[in-house]
Amino acid sequence: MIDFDALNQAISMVFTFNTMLWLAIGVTIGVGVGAMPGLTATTGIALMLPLTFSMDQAAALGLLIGLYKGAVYGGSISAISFATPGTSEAAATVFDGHKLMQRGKGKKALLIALYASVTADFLSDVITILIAPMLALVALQFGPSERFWLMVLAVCLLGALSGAHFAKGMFSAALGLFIGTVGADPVSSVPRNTFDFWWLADGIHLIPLVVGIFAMGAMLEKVCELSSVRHKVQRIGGTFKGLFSMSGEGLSFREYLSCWKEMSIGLGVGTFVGMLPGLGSTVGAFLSYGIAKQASPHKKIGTGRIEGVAAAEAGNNATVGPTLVPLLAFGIPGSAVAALIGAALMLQGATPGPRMFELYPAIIYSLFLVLLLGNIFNLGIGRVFAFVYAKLGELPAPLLVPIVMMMAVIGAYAYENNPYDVLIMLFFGIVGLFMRSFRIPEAPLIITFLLAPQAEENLRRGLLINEGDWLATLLSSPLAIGLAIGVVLLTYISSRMRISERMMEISEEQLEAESKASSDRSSN
Amino acid sequence: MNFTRRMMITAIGAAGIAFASPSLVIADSYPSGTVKTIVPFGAGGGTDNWARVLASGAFDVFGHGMHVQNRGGADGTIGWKFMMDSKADGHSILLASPTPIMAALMEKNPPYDPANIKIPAYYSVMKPTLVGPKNKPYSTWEGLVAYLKDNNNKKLSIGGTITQLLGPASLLAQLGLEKRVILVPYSGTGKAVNDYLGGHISLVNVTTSTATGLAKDHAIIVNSTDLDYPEAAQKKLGPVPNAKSLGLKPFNPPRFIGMHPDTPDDQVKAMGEKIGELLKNKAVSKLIAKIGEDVVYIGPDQAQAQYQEVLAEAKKYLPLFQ
Repeated sequence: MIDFDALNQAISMVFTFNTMLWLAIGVTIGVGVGAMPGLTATTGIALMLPLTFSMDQAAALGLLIGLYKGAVYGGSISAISFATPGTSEAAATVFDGHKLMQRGKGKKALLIALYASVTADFLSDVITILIAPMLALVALQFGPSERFWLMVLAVCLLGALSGAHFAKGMFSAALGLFIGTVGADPVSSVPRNTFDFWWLADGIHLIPLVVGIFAMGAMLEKVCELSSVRHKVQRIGGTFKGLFSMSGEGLSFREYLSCWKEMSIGLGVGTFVGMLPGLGSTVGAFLSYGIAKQASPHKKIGTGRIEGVAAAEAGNNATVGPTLVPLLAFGIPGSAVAALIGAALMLQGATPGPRMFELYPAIIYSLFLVLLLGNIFNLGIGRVFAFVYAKLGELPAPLLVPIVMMMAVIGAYAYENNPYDVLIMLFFGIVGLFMRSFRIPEAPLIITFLLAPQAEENLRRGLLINEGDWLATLLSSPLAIGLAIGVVLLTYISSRMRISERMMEISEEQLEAESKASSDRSSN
Repeated sequence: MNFTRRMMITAIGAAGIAFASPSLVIADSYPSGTVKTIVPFGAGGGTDNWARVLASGAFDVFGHGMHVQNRGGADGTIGWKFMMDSKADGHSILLASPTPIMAALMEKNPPYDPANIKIPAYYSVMKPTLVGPKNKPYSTWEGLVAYLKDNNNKKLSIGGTITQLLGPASLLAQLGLEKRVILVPYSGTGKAVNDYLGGHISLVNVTTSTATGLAKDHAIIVNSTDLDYPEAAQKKLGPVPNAKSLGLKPFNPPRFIGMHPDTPDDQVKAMGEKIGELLKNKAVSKLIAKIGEDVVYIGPDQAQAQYQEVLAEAKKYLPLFQ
């Protein structure tokens, strides 16, 4: 039931010059923060929070929500332009986005990233507004057992990301699994695999890992290429001149519409992942990307396709609205960003909780309006950034490599002002180079690194609650049983598909060999 | 320049005051720059909210800003170690709770000794509150005790952060019932409440502000401290038994400021006094009320001694988490 008085009040609060200005500032800062490797939406919001103490409610929400939306999209800009994901959630965008950039289609990639982000973000906001309490109730059904199976299911779904060589994919996954175990164990906080380095007690952080594997790895590879091939010196002046021009292959409306399937997958996955506490937009992006890749093998996602960019970006931005669901429905923040927005609401005198809709309807409606308006601002401001970065990405390699390397070092340090993160990033840069040299896919490493510790945490917590009873832990509810069956079925189906794919490849190779042999015979 | 008698008396007087009360002189010139404020937890949590609220009034009281740095991870041990590695010049402070104490005590080779820290002040005390479903045999404290005493009943699981779990653990241990519950540690209150609301754990121990949000539809069972809630929270929570009313020894988990153990005592004292002033600042007080917290200030004279007591309590209940 809509409270029209509160809605009117919210409209008069939101549609003011002050609120619009702060929303624009928030999105601008957010896109900048997101595009800078190492700086995350959480960092940006935490830094801006004290500014909101003296603001009115709608302006405060405008600044913070705008920043959040901008940052989640902003990560894709440097991911596409420099293969350097600005934020961890943009790591999945690198696979196709940077390949498009290398083919001179950077502008196209950046635009599909923007449009897919805004489309999925807007629609997930609408879903949040319409059925937030219902979504929250669904999220509550996921306890430790259910979350454990969900993680296992996600890992199985992402088998597609292991690439052409299954064994290499498994090696990458095993590496991620090991890296994920470094640091304090998730239940009793006892350090393990830290090699007696106290600074590894908190494990490997996602940002230095991602920046190292993707950005530093790619740049080290470029350094090797540059040192082995004599490059023609390019005129840099001309490149800078074209920096602010609008040239470059754009995106047609038809191309945008052709990604509807991937955007829908991103919307569904992102909305679901966003409302579950603790998973986050990185999982949303990878999951959406993996499912889209499996759902449409003919599109060859992973080879530099706009559909791949659309899936990853829709998957991460669709988590933005739903991440506020547990906060609005129960007053419990599902992520660090939601906690900060909850703190801002509290400081504005509106304590998040189940009675929020009843006690502060005008603030809730303001929040909803800001969520929707933020997308429009993101669209406009994101386009400006996209054009500039698209040109920056076309800088000649001798200039681009040191810039990106510097960005990677600054980004790794800026994440927590921690010099050890720079060391970790550099180490993973070398690992990334090694993986590229041997064509080992990076995605399984990132996925298992992200999901395995969460799976372990939930399994161990489930065992603790059930006093070590494995059966009660693993099959504690119909939902857990359903997810377990899903895992078995998915593993069976995907392995069958993989076997039949391989059989077809072998028969095609045989046919090819036979026809070649017969043509050789006839020519002789 | 000739020294007149009056000038001589003034100089001796000034020197006398300076020697008699060094902290008075230090308090005027201290801090001389930005105060690095280390939060050993992630952004958005209770300690982080406190840090940002305190920082908002720092210029008025310190004459300099407070630079809040989140150094989360490994249950606060990373942030604590970061403080230990900072200069002992009185310009780095840690805002902490008992969680990093417990985390360090659990380790074989901890990166620091939690006893080796200077405590200029407590700025608040948490009031861990046990929440459970309504209409269950254990919806009240008496009912909970009776339920746990009956060995035929299933064990109850209680979720919460380590600091919050110490509360009910200490109360139940005094009644010999600690083995009848399963303590389930979580990295944040939000995750614990989510599992509680979904029926995956029996009870949850939460902060005052979370308890007020749950009060309408859930039973508020016990406050494990001997302190009253802030007035606004009290209205929403209604009458809740606390350790004092139950005749049990309370566990009052502090929110405290920590400083490097080599920090000169006069600076520690001055920082404690400045924190006291900061808590009285009008704008800061207003924001503290808005985040649903209240001030429990313990100054530099008593904070260190009280901290040692908390440390002893934490050691006592450590086996429950191992």
